[in-house]
Amino acid sequence: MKSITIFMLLMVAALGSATAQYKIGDTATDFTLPATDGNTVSLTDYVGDAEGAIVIFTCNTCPFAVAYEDRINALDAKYKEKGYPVIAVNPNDPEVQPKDNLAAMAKRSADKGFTFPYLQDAGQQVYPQYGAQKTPHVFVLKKENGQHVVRYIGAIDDNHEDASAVSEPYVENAVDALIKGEKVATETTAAIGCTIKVKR
Amino acid sequence: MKILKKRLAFLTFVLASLQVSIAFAQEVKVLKFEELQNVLEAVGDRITIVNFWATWCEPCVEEIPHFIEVYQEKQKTDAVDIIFVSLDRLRDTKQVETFVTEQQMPGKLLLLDDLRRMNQWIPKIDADWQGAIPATGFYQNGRLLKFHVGMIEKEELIGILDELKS
Repeated sequence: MKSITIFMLLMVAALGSATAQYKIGDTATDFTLPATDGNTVSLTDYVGDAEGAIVIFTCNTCPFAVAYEDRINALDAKYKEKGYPVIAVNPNDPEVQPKDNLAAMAKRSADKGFTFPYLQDAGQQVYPQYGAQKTPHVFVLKKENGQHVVRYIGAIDDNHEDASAVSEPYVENAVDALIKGEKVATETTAAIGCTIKVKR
Repeated sequence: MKILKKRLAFLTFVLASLQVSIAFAQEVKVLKFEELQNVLEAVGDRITIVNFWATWCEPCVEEIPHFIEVYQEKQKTDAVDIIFVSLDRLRDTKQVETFVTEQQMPGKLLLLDDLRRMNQWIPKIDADWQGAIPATGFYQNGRLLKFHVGMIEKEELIGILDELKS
């Protein structure tokens, strides 16, 4: 297990400089990143026997991301038991944005009662492979033949301001379709978000 | 007589300051995407910088003074136009106006009140843009020449404008 983890890390490191951006149908890379409790979490291990995962690049500081915190918790509550747990990754460089450092992430996680792992993309090697451009940015993955295949990319829903006035719950629609074995009707969406704070 | 002169001088100063602040009180035009499209399509011969920003976006706020500097410097040689499109909420328009006034932002000042339809118009601005701000488009004769997602440093902005000119 340890050697596989090391191998994965090396693979991730090797691919680090690539500017791949996932499209629907691509295989998503595994990753192992530090979590707010001081341990590391691997995508593959966390998904385990589940159907897939809802990977969300998010952070403490972007107002658009913050507006979605409760909804991200709600997604995990609804879909973890249905096979699609949430995994949150903070892609921001903590030196550029100290309020996104691991301690601040741990505090936010505790304050909001996050039920999902909130990981730090230390080294900023993971988000460029996924092609995350902003926070928040969602990648819904489905396990197919042992790989994590990207089946949805984009926004959480169409109304960051008012959760009660959402007309298009994009992620929920996508995951519901995957659970039913149906085609995802809206596979990609765009929404305003904050650029990722890149290491200088 | 001396006191009167001082008071007159003071009054003149106050009036002058008021004049200045009134002259600079900027209004922001609120519009929907279709109107913005018309504005972009109406861009003429002069290269036009279209900057998407918001008062809540730190890097946006950080780069605006550089954009203003470059815009002003360019007026001396080969003039460019500039349009600032705020993605603040409609209810925050006053806050946006205070900001643009304080920063003395030049050019066209717009507020795109169309966040609910983001998913529809973001790809229409640029197919690869997924909505991250700051983002800047460079237009000429109604067409997009180049779209840059992320902060642009002053030198880079000058470089892009020089590149587009040729």
